[in-house]
Amino acid sequence: MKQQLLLIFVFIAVVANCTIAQKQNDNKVSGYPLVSFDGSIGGNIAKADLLKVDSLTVTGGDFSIFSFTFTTTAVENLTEISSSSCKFSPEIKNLIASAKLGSKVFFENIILIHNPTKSTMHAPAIIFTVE
Amino acid sequence: MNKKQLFLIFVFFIASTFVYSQSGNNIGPVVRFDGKSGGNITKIDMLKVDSLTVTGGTYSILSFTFSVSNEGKLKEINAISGKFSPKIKNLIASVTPGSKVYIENIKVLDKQTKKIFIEPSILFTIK
Repeated sequence: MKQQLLLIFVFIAVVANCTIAQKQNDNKVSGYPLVSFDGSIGGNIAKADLLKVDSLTVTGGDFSIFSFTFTTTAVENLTEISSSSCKFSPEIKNLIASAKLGSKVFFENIILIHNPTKSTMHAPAIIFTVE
Repeated sequence: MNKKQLFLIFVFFIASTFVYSQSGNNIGPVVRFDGKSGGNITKIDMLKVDSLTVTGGTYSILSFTFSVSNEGKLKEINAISGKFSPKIKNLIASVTPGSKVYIENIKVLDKQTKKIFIEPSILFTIK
């Protein structure tokens, strides 16, 4: 009887440990959104590569991009354009087209919506320098 | 199967599941400014901080760009460590409410694998 009890105890302990470990790893992998510009989150970029992309993308969990602010030093002063989707408007595209070597491009104030709950959250800014 | 064998199996399973659960704890570099990833901040609080911090493993900050937008102009300084140089401190001292402070192009070195990561930018608005 003692041996059976010990076996049951071992079984329960192993199952519980495996479940906890799995849950911890699941939490690390899923459910955390990452917003990127064609898979990139910043650094140096060629103007041609900037112009190829039409929208920001979000991966990891059921999220959509609600809005963002596009800021650039492409023209003399910092210029800001607000966008109410993930897409780059023709105005944003034109500003990117006028960027020069060393110009900065900021995608900031990125607001995400968690689709199932409709709750919102901010994503880190994406900042590029045109090379 | 005697008690000793069962006990050994039990210890083995506990140890292996513990190792498994810990194996994913190296979550990658997380860079913060005084524990923050952005938001609103006062100039006084910004001036209190002397460096960026990186957690999540054996990482060190190689470089970053510190920029401030003020009245439509952008001033930027490149740093070659996680520390804020006197020039950066002076730039912080010059900000006014509404200014934006960008800490970007943050390059982090994984000391074990020697891989370099670009980490998400940190953006503050001065209140």
